[in-house]
Amino acid sequence: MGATVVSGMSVSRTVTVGNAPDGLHMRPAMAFAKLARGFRCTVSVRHGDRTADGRSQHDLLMLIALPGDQLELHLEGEDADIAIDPLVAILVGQDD
Amino acid sequence: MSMTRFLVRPALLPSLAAETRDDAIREMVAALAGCGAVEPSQADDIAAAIFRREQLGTTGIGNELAIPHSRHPSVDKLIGTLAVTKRAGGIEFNSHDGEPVYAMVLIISPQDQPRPHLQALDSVVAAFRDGTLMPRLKGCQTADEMWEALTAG
Repeated sequence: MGATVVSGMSVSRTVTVGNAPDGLHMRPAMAFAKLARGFRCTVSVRHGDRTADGRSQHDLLMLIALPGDQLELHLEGEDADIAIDPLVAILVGQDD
Repeated sequence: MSMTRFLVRPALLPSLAAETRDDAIREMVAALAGCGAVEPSQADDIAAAIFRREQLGTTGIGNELAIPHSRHPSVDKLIGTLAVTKRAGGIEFNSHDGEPVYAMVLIISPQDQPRPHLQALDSVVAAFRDGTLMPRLKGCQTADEMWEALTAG
């Protein structure tokens, strides 16, 4: 898990995808999107030159994020500071 | 990656006979077995692995699309097939959006190749993303027409 940058109502963090065999596959992508939709803040996830709306499972699948890959999360909104930890937990702690 | 990189052309099904999710999965695996893409003796075990995966959470990702999938030791490269149902009510897949499914992309991947698996998922999502492929596929009567629809875009 990388450093967290908090600025106003935005939070950014660099995260290393967990070591599950399949990376950010369908189930963790679905869990992440569902959780993200429960917050008011916007959630963007960047992998290289691709950026996903964290509320969209489809977007997240298109990141092709494998175990060990680094993702940059950027949250903006009033509950960004609350949302960041559980969202990161899905990415780093995913099981198969 | 394009879906045509891993879809097995003669296994494409323009009009499923199945009326349920499990029967649809069986029919798609049988189509792959029927053209030699998977060992016929492994078909039941592959279908069972896909059923187990569905029990962990639906692969009905919304917008009338499902992507049932599993790893299986009997394949040495990622393969798949695409099926469409002509049933008026579609097929119930317990999808995230609560709507029935009309197209299914079934993917079988080797045990230890996560990158092709994620690339395949990406290619499916990307192909259906703008909403034009689904109605084209629904209008196809043959596997060849489906292939043309997949390569036209």
